[in-house]
Amino acid sequence: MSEPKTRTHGQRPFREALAEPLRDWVVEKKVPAGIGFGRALGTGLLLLLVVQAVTGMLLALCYSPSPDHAYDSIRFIDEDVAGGRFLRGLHHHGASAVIVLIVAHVARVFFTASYKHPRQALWVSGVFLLLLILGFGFTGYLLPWDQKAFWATSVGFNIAESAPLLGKPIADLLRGGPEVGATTLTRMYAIHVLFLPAALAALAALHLFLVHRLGITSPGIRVGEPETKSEPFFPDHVFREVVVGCAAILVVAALSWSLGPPLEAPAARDAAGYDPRPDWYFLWLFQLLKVFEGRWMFVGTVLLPSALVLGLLLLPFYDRNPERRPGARPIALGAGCAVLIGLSILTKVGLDNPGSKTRPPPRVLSPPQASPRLSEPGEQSPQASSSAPLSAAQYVETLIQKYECLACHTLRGEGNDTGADAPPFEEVAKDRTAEWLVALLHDPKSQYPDTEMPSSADLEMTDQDLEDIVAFLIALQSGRPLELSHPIDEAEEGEPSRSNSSEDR
Amino acid sequence: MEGAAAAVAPTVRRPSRRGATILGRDRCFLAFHRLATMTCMQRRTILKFLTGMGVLVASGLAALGAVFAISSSRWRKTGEPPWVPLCSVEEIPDAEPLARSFRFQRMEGWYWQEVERLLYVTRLSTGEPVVFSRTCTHLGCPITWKEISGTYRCPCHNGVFSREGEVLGGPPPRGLTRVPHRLSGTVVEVQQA
Repeated sequence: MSEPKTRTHGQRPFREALAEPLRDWVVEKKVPAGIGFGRALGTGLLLLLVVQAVTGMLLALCYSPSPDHAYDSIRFIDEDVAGGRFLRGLHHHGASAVIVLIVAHVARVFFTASYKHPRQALWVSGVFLLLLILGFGFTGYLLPWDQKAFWATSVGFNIAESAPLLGKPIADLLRGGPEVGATTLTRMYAIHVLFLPAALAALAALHLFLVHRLGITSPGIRVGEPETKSEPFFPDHVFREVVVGCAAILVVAALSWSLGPPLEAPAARDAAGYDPRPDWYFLWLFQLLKVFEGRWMFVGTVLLPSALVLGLLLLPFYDRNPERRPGARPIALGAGCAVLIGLSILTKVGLDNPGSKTRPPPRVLSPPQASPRLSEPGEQSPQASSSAPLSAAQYVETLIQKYECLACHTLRGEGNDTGADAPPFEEVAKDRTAEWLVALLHDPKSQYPDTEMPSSADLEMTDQDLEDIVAFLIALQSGRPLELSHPIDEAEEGEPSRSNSSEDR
Repeated sequence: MEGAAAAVAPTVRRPSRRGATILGRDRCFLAFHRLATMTCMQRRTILKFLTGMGVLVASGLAALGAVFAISSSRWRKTGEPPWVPLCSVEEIPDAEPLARSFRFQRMEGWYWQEVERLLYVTRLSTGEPVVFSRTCTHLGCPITWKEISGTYRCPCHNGVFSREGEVLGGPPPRGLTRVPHRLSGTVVEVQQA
């Protein structure tokens, strides 16, 4: 150590080259005495971000960023891939945990006044990291392409659009068009998995380097006083960091195990009556938007959020108070508490007023030509979907899709997402005649007075469709091949295109 | 740790021609000096040239990126959109709006998307029909007609509009957007877009 560093490169033993960073960064590193778990939040955050990166990379193995496949690929992950639901849960709840930890981390740095000289650059890089993290949240939740995804993102872009002058061009650029659509999904995906991670890695590296260079602030000392470091970093502080990181990961794992990831009905552009809500960490903004009316709208959408960001960014430059003890900085602490309490109240009000939660529809069981979400080819390409004729059974399955029978019943073990007390289709025709089934479908209450099953009139079911479904149920029970009383192609126009929209809600 | 460092510390220095230690940065400096001598240019000129080239390449890449990002966010226009019938004038009730919809295909970048547009057709106090977009003028959530209150409401931020489209409450900055329509006989038609 006392030897002056005059050695040339290439003459240092390899093992020393490896040991030196370990020695400098861990073994011989000292931290100030009297620091607690609050100083370990940053490392907890780093660990969680690593978990996010790994789970994200794994999810990308199965995800397809295109409107006709995004939702299905998410359902594939949730329902068919072993551990897929848990993995997506980890990524979803991990994102929330990252927000919780980053807010706690920023608050800790603020209340211990660690942002003051000489750590201004550290603070500024931290604020940019916070913005990047919020960017991850915003770009990430379009990806499942469900109702919440679509509407929260639409509202988000409209907020950006309400900014004067540059708002509209910037929103169009990021959205990839005048409305949220196919191009938006691809863009959000690229930003979420390529642009933002690259920026995050670079900025986080700078942040960590600065933390290492400048060290942890000694609690309570004035700016300019010598900072003393007397406690070993390893194992004392490393222990705290491991505890915080592991606790965070355990909580995330417990949440994703018990709750799983949320998923709503697929995105529909004109969803009448759908009541959109953003994820909880944007609820404060959501509520803030309700406060400012008419031409004052821009205060909520642009002015206050940008004032908040600028206020954070420039904090070390306008807060020139050299004191770090909480008692000696009443104004700063008062303002900080006010902002935190304000954000909490807005979030609380938002949580008390939950929006719609539309259920995912039953999964598509039939081959692709009967899939209700299959994109229609445009005028430029011939109708590809009509090339393969449907079998009789496949045709009836499209009817079952159309009338949403599998919301309550099951077929081949799939369906009944509502948890209703309805028998599986394999059993409904047991010991029953076709006439009885027809009567049941016409008026379910005549056979079962307490049933919640809608009548064929409620469903606007045609007699032809009703007859076909009954024939299907009888064939399913008896095991004989299904024969319909009419050719299939003329009925093809009853194609279940409506299930893509929630028009009827 | 200390022992290992002490053992290798007095390393043999490679002597240069002048007998001093040559470090990595010295080599760079020498190469740069040699380049200047060879090309008979001032070192300052070379530096300026290299900096200029760097700026040029970087700004070229940035411009390419900007052009790519902007042009890929333009959706292709597929000619003048056709007029589609919504309803006949007699169908429109006096006291409440008529909800109507139509579907069409449009090209979003590379993707043919089926879009459903839901509209409200109603009468102004003058009896003239008017077509409203279902998109809230605040932040674009879908509004719905509430029969009980006789108003349109936005579920997001509690915007309220009258039947004739004026703002009655909440944050919307202006009344409902009117969709241009035309009368073809007694049929109300709007453009498919």
